[in-house]
Amino acid sequence: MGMHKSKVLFRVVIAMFCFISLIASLSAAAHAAESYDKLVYPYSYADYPQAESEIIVEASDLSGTTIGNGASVKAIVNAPSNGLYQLELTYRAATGRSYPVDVVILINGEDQHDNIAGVELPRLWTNESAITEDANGNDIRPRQIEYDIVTKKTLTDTFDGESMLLFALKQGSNEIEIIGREEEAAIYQVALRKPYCAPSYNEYITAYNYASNAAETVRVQAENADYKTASSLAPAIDMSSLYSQPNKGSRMALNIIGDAWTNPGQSMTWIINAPDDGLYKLNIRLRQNKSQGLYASRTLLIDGLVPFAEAHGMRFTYSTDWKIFTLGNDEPYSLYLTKGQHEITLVSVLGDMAASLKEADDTIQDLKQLSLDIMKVTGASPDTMRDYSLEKYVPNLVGRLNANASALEALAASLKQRSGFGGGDLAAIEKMARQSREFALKPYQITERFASFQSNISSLAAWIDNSSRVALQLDWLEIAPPDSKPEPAEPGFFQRLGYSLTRFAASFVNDYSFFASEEGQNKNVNIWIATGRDQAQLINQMARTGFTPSSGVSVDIRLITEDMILPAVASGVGPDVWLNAPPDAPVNFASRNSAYDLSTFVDADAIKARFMPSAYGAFEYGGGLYALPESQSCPLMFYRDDILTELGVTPPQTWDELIRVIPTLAQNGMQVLIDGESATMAMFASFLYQNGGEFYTGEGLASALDTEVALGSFLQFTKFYTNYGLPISYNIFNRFKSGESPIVVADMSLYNTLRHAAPEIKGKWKMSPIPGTLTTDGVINRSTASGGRASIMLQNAVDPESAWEFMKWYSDADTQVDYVNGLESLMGASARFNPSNLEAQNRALWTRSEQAVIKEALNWSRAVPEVPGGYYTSRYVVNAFRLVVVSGENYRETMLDYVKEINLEIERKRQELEL
Amino acid sequence: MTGTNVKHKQTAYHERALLSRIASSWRSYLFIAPFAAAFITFTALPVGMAIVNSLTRYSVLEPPVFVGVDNYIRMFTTDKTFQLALKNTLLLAAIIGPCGYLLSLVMAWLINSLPRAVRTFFVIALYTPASATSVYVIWKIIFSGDEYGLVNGFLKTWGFIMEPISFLYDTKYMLLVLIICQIWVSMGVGFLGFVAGLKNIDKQYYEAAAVDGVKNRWQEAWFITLPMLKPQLLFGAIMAITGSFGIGNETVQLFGMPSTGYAAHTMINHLSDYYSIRYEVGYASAIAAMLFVLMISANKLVNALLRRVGR
Repeated sequence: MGMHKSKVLFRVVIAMFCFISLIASLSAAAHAAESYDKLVYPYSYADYPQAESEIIVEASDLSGTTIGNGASVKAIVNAPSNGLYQLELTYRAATGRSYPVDVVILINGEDQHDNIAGVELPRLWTNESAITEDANGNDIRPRQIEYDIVTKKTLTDTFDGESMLLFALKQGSNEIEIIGREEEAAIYQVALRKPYCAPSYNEYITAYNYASNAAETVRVQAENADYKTASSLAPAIDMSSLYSQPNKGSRMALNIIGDAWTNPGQSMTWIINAPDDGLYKLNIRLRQNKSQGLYASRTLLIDGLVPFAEAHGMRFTYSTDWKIFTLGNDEPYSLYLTKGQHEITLVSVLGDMAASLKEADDTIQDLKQLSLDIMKVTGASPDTMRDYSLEKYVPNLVGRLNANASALEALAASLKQRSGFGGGDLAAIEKMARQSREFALKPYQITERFASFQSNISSLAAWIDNSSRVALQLDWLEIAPPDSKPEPAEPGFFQRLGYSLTRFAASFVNDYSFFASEEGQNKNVNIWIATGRDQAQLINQMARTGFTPSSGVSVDIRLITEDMILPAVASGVGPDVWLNAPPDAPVNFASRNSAYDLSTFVDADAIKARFMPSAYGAFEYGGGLYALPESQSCPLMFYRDDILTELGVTPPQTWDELIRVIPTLAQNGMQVLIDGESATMAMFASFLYQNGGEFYTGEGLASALDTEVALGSFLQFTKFYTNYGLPISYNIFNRFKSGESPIVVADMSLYNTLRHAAPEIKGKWKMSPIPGTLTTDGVINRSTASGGRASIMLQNAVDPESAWEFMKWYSDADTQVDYVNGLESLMGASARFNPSNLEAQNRALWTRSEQAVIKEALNWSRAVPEVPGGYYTSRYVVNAFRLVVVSGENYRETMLDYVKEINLEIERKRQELEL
Repeated sequence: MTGTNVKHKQTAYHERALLSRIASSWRSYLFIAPFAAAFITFTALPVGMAIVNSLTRYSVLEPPVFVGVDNYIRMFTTDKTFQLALKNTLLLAAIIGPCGYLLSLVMAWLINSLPRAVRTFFVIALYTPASATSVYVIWKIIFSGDEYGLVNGFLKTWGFIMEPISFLYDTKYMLLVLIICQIWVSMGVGFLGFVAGLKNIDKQYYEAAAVDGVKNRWQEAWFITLPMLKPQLLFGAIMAITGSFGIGNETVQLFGMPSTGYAAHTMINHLSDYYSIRYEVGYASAIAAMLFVLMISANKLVNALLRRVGR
C-alpha cells in the first residue's frame, strides 16, 4: 500500500516537473520574441522620421546657464528636415539637496511629452571614503556624499527608467526650452542625437569576430560603486552567507549594496579596468529576496550605452540564496572591451513589466473616477436598502465596468503566461476583474459592496507599487574569460552549518542593545536613546566616523525603553545625554533640578539660531534652556487636488472659507475632517493663537483659558463638530484615500502614511498650511502649535563639555541630513521626519514645493509652553472638548469649571516645587 | 516510634529558646530559603518601601521629604479623583470578579464533558484572550465611535441609531464597555486552572457518590466536583479579584489616559498618573498601599466564602 502511494506521488512529481519546464521553455520563447523598442514617441508627431544627423549646442550658444525654480535655458537649433531626436543634456546639479533635478522640455513652446510621469536629471552620489574598520573590527559605514561633476544624461521616461524620449523638430529653426521645475542645475551642453537602438547580440558579436578571448579575471566589490544616482544606494551588511565578500564572521562587514535599489531609473556605476583587449563575460553575484513571485529588471550599460538589445530589462527572479548571474545565462554573451577603464552601469528598470503596469494604472484611474462618480449619487454612507438606479445616473456605468474587467483579465492572462505562475501576486488583479464583471451584471449590488470595491482598488494600486519596486542586492561583479567556470555562489552544507553555529555562539557574547565606544579616547559621553535599533545603530555609526575622530570624545550608545530613564536617573546610573525624549520631559526634569541648563554654555545662542524659536519654546523654563529640539512638526491641511478641481472648489485659506466649502462637499456625499480626536491640543491651540489668545498668564502662574478670547476660540473649535456635523471619530487615512474627506486638517505625519500606503492617489493630493483667520490688516493668520522630540543633557552628566560637544554635533545640519537620509534608505519613506535644524530642513528629502509649505506652516507655528502642572491643561482641554462635542455640555461652563481645576493643580505643583 | 514519644519531643522543642529552636531546625529553613529570599526581595521589601514612601513627598529625582500621613489625609479629603477611582475600582471588582469567575467555572464545567479534540479547541479559544496581552485593543475597533465601527455599523444598519455613538468618549458608555471587554479577558487563568482541576477528579468518587445516593448532576457538582476543586477555586478567585483590582492598562488603551472626565479612571490609572505624569511618588505609594489593603481584605473575604462550599 505504502509503496503504491509513493509511486503515484513520484509520478505526479515527475509530471509536474515536465509541466513546469514546458511552461518555462514556452515563456522563454515568448520573452525572446519580444521586441526591444525602448523609445517614447511624441504622440502628435509619431509620423516624423527618425533623424539621421546630430545637432550640438554648446553652453556659449545657450540663452541662460542655470535651470531650477522655474528658470529655464533656451537653445535655437536648425534642423535639416523634420525628424525625431533623442536629447542629451550635459549638466551639473547644484549641491546641497537630495531630490533629482526635474525638468520639462518645451519644443517651440510645446511639451511634446505631457502624458509621461516626468523627466529627471539624477544627482550622483558616492562613498565619501573607502570602507574602514573601527577598533572592534566592525566596518564603518562611509557617508554618502554628492559626486559633484559635470555629467551627461540622455532623457528617459522616469516611469520605466530607460525608455528614450524622442523629440520632434520641424525643418528649419526650432526653439528648445529646458525648464527646471524646482531643483537647480547648470546646463553645459544640449545635444540632439539620432535615436539609438541597440543591435541584437548576433549583430554585436559579428562585429567583433576578430577578437580573441581575454585571459584574466577582474573583480570589483559592488559596495564600492563609483557613483550611483541616490544616496540610499549605500553599502549594507550581509551576514547570511559565508561567501559574501568580504566576510568577517561575527563582526559586521559592509559587503553588499542594493537593499533600497527599487525605483526605476536608479543606477549604479562601477569603473572596471580591463587588463587586455578582448572578449569577456560578465558575472555578478546577486540576490533578489524581496518579492516572491515578482522579478527585478535591470538594464546593463557599458560606457553609457546598452551594448546589445538583450541587455535591456534582464529579469532576476526570487531566491533566498545568493546566485552567480552570468550575462546571457546558459550561453554566456561576450562583451568586447578594450584595454583600460570601462564604466559598467546597471539601471533599475521596469523592463517588460512597464506595459502591464501602465495598463493596470489606466484601469485604476478609471475605476477611481468611477467610484467618485458613484459616490456622487449615493453619498459616502449609502442606504443599502435603497436601489439608486446607478446605471441610469452614472454615465456609461456598465460599459466602463466591462471594459476595465476585460483589460484586467487580459493583463492577468499575459502576466501568468510570462512568469509561468498564476495566483498569489495576481490575486489583486483577478479579484478586481471579477468584481467589475459582477457589478456590470448587477449594478444594484454596488452600494452594498462599495467598501470592498474601494479596498480592491487599493490593493490593485499596491500591487502596481510593489511590482515596480523590486530591490536587487549585489555582492560583486567581475569580467572573466568567456571559457572560465564560475565559482559556486553558496557554500556547501557543512560549511554553512559551521558558519551558522559560529554566529549563534557570537550572539551570546555580543550585546545588541549597547554600542560600545572604541578604546583609546580619554573623554566619553554616555547616550541613551529610546527608539528602534536601526536609529541607534545609525547614530552610532555616524558618531564614530563624524564625531569621535574630530572631537576626541568616544560615544557609548544604549538602546532603552522610555520608562527606564526615571529610575536610572534617580539611582545615579543615568546617561549624560538622552536623545529622542518626549517634549514634556525637559521641563519636568528641569523643575526638579535634573536637567542641565544649556544656556550656560557660551555658544548656546549660536546653537539656538539653528532652530525656529517655536521648536525649543517648550524646553525653556525659568530663563534656562533644558533641551535642544530634534524634530519639529505641526498640523497641515491636506487636500485632494483632483476632487476639489472637479467640484470647482478652491482650497480654503481661512476657517470661514472652509465652512463655506462644507455644504458643497456634503451635496456630493463628502465631508471635511479636522483631527480633533488625536490632535485636540494642537487644533485648539491653532484657534487660540489665531485669535490672539494664550494658554497661561505670565510665566505659567495661572491658566488663561478663562478669558473671553480663549472661550471664543474653544466655541469656534467645537462648533465644527456641534454645528457643522464634522465626525468626531474616523480613520483619517482611509477617508482621505477614498475621497470621502477630500479636505483634512491633521498632523504632518499623515504625509508619511500617504506616501507609504496610498500609492493610488500619488500626485493627486497636496498639502498647505492650515486655514487661518483673516486679521484686520488683511493678513491671514495661520498660527498653530508645533511639537517635537528633544535631546536632554542630564544634570549629573559626568563631562558636560563633552556632552555639549556631542549635542552640537548631533543637531548640526550635516549630521541631521545624513541621519534623515540614512533612515529613509534603511527603513523607507515611512521613517521620514522633519528635522528641527533649519538648514537640514532645506537639504532633507522634501521637494521644494513640499518644503515651502512646511516652512510657511512652521513659521506660523508657536510652542505650547510647558509649565509645572501644565499636563492638566492638555488633559482638561481634551476632556472639555469631548464633553462638549460628545455629551453636549455647555462650552463655557465646562471650560470655566476646568480652568479652576487647572489653576489648583498649577498652584499645588508650584508649592511642591517650592517656587 | 510511639505517639507519646513524639508528643514528648514536641513539648521539649517548644520549651527551648527561639534561636536554638531555629538552629536545630536549620534544614527546614534551608528548604524555604529560596522562596523566602524571592518573597522578601520581590514582595515584602517593595511593599514595605511603598508604605515608607507613602509617608513622604518624593519626586524620584530629588530626595524625599517626610510629611507624615498628609498623603492619606489628602487622598480621603481633597482628592475627588481618587474617590472616583476607588468607586470605579470597587464597582469593577464587584462585577467583573464574580462574573468572570463564575463564567469561567461554568465554561470549564461544560467543556469538561466534551470529547477531547473539541475540548482542546475550546480551551485554546477561551484562554487566548488572557494569554495575548494586548488583545483587548480589538474592542477599540468593535466599539469605535466611527460609523464604520463594528457595533455602530451594526446598530446603524438595523436602524437602531441614526448617528454613531461615541462609546469610547461618552461618559455614559465607558464603564459598560470596560466591563464587557474585561469579563472576556478575565476568563483566562482561572479557567485553565478549573479545566485542569476537573480533569484531576477521580471517577471513583462519582461512582461512590452514586452508590451513596447522589441523584443528579447538581448534587454531583455541589458535593463532589466543587469540594474537590477547592484549591483551584481559591486560586481562580484570587486571580479574578487581583485581576479586577489591577485593571488599568486596558482603560488607557481603550479610552486614553486619563479617560474623558475620569469616567473609567481606576486606582491603577490614578497611581500611574501620579507616578509617571506628575512625578509624585509619595502620593502614588500611598495609593498603592491602599490598593494593597483592598486586595488583602478581598482575599480574606474570598477565603471566608469558599470555606462554605460543599457544606
